[in-house]
Amino acid sequence: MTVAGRRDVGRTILVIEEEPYYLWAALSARVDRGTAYVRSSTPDQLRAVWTGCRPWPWLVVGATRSLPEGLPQLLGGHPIPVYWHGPAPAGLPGRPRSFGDWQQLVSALEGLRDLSVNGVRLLRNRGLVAPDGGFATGVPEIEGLLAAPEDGLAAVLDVDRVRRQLEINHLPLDVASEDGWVRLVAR
Amino acid sequence: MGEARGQVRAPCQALVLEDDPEQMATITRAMREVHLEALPCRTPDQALNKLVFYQPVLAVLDLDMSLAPDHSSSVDDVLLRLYQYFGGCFVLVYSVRSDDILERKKVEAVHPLAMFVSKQDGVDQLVDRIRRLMGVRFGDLVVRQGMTFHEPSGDVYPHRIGVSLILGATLNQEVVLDDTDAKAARRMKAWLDRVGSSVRIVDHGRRCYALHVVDQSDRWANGGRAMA
Repeated sequence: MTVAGRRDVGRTILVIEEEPYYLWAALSARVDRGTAYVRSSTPDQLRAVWTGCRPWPWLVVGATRSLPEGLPQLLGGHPIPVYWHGPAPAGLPGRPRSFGDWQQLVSALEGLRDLSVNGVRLLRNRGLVAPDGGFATGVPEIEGLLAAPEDGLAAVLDVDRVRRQLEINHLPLDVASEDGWVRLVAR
Repeated sequence: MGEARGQVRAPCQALVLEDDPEQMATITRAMREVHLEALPCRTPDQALNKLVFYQPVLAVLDLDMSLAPDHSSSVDDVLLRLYQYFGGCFVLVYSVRSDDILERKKVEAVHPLAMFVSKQDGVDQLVDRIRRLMGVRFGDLVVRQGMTFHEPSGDVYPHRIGVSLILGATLNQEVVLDDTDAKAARRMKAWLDRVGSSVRIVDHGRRCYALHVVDQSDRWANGGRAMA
């Protein structure tokens, strides 16, 4: 058997929290695996678990009072929407969506299954479905942008490369970039 | 003409790691009922040894090995081996601790895709789960007698990889294959074309594969657990 070990599980929501892991348990039960796998990390485990979410987590959900060490560096310029239960800790880049009520947070993420921008939808586990039914795979930047809030994400992207991916995969979308904020728009 | 005709076909296998002989007997009987060859193991050492020689499509693991004979490896070692190297094997953790969030978190850290059945619900729940898994339907394909059937034509794809891919699709898990199994997946792709199936194999790269129903690629199994 010529096998390198499995390195990831597909599109992932990474939940960072301490015991008793109630948010991870709730999201695991409510977000179906076709939308994303829900993985759990304590702040101490963050770097190790992050490496199992290749190329990076689709979404990050936090529930800690203080900023997990290394999280801003791991988020870097990747297009990763960030959700937080409670006030987002200082030092978190971008505009994380904060929820005082964890059940509202869970409901918001549960609705991601129905994401659609100009007819482009999530493909089960990873990738996208074009309006013509074609599959686009290997497009994690676009998957992240698809899940971005309306005002976009603070991300450092090679916009030309993303536009080429959109074109090659017949995705009727374009990238709008302004002041470091990036979002998908209908084309 | 069914693919299986004229071929000697080895049954799909299921690894069972259970230290209680009574439970083991019930589980292996359930495996036989659904045409799976059980690979019974009373210790993690035995399970790791079986994994050197066999490639199961299903694994049932008890977390508590207190009744097991002497052993040096742990259930975590088995979970890790299954996660890393057996991407076509679906894992059911069958334990009295299955309902405990902290226990699930520990398992998730080792095998993020493992599913749970509580021993407190009784062995019948597990048997029912195994039966449902081995009778799943995806598009015009169905798993029956441990094989993949194309229902409209009655044609059969005999390789275990067909079963793994259908289980993956119904459980909303992609399947990671080694080089040999990837060849079998390519043969299955040709078979799907030949029988005119509505199901397509999507290669996600890095040896990750998934099935999708043409024109229904945005519809997937609801809940990941409830379906099978």
